Amino acid sequence: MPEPIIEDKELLIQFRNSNTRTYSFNLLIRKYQQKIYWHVRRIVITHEDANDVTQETFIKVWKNLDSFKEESQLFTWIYRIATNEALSFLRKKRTKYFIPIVNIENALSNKLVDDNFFSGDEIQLKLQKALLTLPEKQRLVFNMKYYDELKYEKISEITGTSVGALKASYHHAVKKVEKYLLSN
Amino acid sequence: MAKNNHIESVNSPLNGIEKKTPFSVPADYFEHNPNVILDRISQGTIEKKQVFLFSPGLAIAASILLIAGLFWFYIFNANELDVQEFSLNDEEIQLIIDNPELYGINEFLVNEKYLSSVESYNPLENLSTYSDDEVKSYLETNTDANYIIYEY
Repeated sequence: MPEPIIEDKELLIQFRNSNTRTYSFNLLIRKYQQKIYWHVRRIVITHEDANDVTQETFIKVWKNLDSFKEESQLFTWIYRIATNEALSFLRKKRTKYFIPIVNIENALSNKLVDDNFFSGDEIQLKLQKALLTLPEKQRLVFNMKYYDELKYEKISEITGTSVGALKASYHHAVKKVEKYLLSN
Repeated sequence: MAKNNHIESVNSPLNGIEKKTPFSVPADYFEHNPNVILDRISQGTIEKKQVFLFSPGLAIAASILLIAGLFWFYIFNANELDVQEFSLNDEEIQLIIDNPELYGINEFLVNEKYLSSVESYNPLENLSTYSDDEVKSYLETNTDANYIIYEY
């Protein structure tokens, strides 16, 4: 049976009531988990890593939701936590293996080929490989704009970067991806 | 096929690619995931995962190198370490000399030690021919202080 769709305001009210706290959080996860998971998955690439980061994100949400001030939308707030968790995860991975920034993306690119949970065709594989050649910030902006179709204002709120800088990043990202697709 | 409205050029190769995330998840993943997260929360297993700075292989190699280095250092510096461990600084020596009521110095052992380091050692030579400075200098660099000094 599908879960009822509840407005964020109602979810927050229920979360602040100890009797309905867990129930409301269950609904919150079900409401946002797919968007968060796919956003994270496009950053960390493998399902195992995306699963870890998604879980950590919602655990962090649980621990901090009481202090959520509703100055931004709940989804934007969760999206920001997920983005930070995913980027932090990649940075820890780089530190762990003592390898420069480009190599972790190369490793992820190689993993794509044998990934059981990669369901795209050849051209989509090529696009993912092209994205993995981008600097971290450009890849992030490209994913949020291209796949999630978020407005620049929303991306700005999530990443804390100005709209102008985001537009420039996206423009550069598209140019680099196009060049990669045409030359490979 | 989803349209790429925000791609500027109509000739962009991106326009020929279906816009969907090309990944999949295990069966029923999203059905079970909320329960897994809530279980972790209720069981209090929220502690952070350990992130190791070194990979296990690198850590083992580094440990072996460290042990070998320490072993080498010990072997080649053992004698030096022994001397440093038991040498006294100027203040300590002065303290001992100025407080004969607290410490006694076995003069015979001091002289024998010193003379044995001199090539022209003659055990019958008059012990009083060596000045205090010579004895002090010798004590600083060569002598096991615990061997020649005793507390009253």
